[in-house]
Order: sequence, then C-alpha cells, then structure tokens
Amino acid sequence: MNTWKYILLVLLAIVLGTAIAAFRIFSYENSSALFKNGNWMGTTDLPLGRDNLITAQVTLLAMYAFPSEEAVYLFAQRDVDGNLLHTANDYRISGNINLIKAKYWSITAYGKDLFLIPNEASRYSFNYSNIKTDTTGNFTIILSPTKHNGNWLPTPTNARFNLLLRIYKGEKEYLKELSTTPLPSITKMGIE
Amino acid sequence: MKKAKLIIYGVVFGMLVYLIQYLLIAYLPNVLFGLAKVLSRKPLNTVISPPKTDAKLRRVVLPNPDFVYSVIFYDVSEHDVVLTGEFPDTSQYACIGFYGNNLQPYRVINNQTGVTGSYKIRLTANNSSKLANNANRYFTVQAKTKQGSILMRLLVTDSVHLKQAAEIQRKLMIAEM
Repeated sequence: MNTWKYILLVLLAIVLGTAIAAFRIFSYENSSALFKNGNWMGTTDLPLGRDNLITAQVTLLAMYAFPSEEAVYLFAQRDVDGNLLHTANDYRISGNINLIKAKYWSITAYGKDLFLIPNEASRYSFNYSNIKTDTTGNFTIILSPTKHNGNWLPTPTNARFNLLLRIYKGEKEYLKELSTTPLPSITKMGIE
Repeated sequence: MKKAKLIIYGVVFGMLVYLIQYLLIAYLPNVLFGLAKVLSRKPLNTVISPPKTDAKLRRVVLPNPDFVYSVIFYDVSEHDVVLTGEFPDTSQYACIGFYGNNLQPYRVINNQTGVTGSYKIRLTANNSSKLANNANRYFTVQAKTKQGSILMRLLVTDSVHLKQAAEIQRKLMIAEM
C-alpha cells in the first residue's frame, strides 16, 4: 500500500467512527438507562461521569444538567399512542399538581432543534405557580400553534416538537416511584 | 499471503474506527466545555449574567425559561477563587452548581437546605486550603478540575422575583486570592 492509501483508510476510519459515535449518542430513546413512564422518559439515577455514553448524551442534550437529587428531567417526543409530537395535531396535557411532589416543576415546549419555540405571547412553559387548575388541582395544557383560552402552550407551525418535564428537589419517596407514578399524559386532541 | 495482509488491515481499520468513536463519546463533554468557554468571549473568573432566557437564546439547548442564570468559567490552576453573593429566601429556589471541565456537576449548594442570605465560597484545587464553615455561610469547595464552570440558577416566576434576581446577579462576584 502506498501512503495515499493509508491516509484514505485513516480518513475513512475517522468518518465511520464519527458516524457511529453520532448514531450511538442520538439513539438515546433506546437507552437502557432511561425508564419510560407513559409519554415520558428519564432517570432518577443519571450515571453522569460513570457511563461515557449517557454522559455524552446528557451533556449534548442538556448541558449543565444537575444530578438527580437536585433535578430530574423527563423528556417526551411522543404522545400516549407512541406517535411523534407534530403540530399537524393539537395535544392536551392532563395532570394534577398535587401528584407532582417537588419544590418546583415545569413543562416546557421545545422545537425539533431543542430550542425554545418563538411565539408572540412569549409563552414557553407552565410551572407550579402559573398554571391554572380546578379546585382539585387538575390541569390541562393545550399544545397548539393557534391561540386557545386557559393554559395554552404555543407550538411551531408544521414541525415536530418536544416537551421537557423538570422536577426540582422532588420528594424522596416521590422520586423513588417516578418510573411508575402517574405523570401528566399527552393526548392528541379529537381522539380522546 | 495477500489474504493475511488484508485481514491484518481489516483488524487495524476496525480497531481504529472503534477507538475514534470511543474517544469522541468520552471526550465530547470536554469539547463542549471548551467551545462554551471560547464562545462566551469573556475572560476566565468573570461573572457573565445574560438576560432572562427566551427564544432568542440559541447557544445552549433545552434552556429553562423560568430561570435567570449567571455563569463563570473558572480557573483555579494558580490561585484559589472566592465567590461572594446572596441567596434569596427559600420561597425563590436558587442554587449554585460547580461543574468540571467535562461539564459534570460535582457540588451543588442551594437555598433549600438552610443556606440563605449572604455567602462566601472558596473554590480551591488545593486539598489543604480550608475556609472554616460558619453558620452555613462560608464554604470551601474542592475543585475537581482546575478549570470548569460555576452556574447560578435563580427561579423567576413573577416580576418581584425578576427584580430580586437582577439584584442577586449584580451582587455575585468572584475574586482571585
């Protein structure tokens, strides 16, 4: 083999190695480290620094993430039927604030690029203090590109989007049961 | 002979591909830290306090719009640094997280565990440097890496919080010892 062939082989190895690394990092949805509870996936035991792959995935998707004892992040990109969230549909998030036992929690909508979704209302999230509930604590958030009354969270026009449920300083017992405890459900409107 | 040579090249190529993907995954956090540090365009050991997060922020994915942040890219390779500031009362969640040069958190101090009011935190790379803990106000934090980041998060749910947050950001200071 001459030198050029060696160089070509090394370049090919770099391209292939990079592609494999990118594939493994972006395959987080199938990670065995994450539990799935309804629409949401996450973990209460982030192996940051212990597992290179999870560490890379978390760092890329949530730079400056906290350890689980401080904050838990639950990600949703599908509705209850397993379909990707897309603004071709409107969605309803239903839950009860009394069932989320934490110092602070919020549900934020992000575009496919994982940045906040620009909108005229400058409304990006709902949290424990600004969400409207009924007398028993039940709440509904409407996800739609068009304005709705109540807890309306604007979504982009004709695009996929994602949701993140943040739970800060969750109660210990609540976090223990987080993989099975009822969490807000995301349903496509019109088919409930 | 030619077949044996091809097998050897194949094995070496496979090992090279494996090594490259392993290194990329293992060192991605360090690369991201380096990029964040360079893109901040600020000197090390300086407090950076961007405005409240909104859709215009396109630097860090999945930002929390309920938080006001201040960040410091620290360097304690030659001197310890002392961070001074103030926590709000427990009704407004606030915390300071210390991250290594791989963006992994190694210490979090928040105002939900009795730490409120003014504080002083000495960040050191030296094991023997100690600042006496005193009434939950003075801390010594052992830096896991000589360079890294300090991130202050302040929960802002209304205009009163926002005003308080601006004042707390203003009071956050860092000095080399």
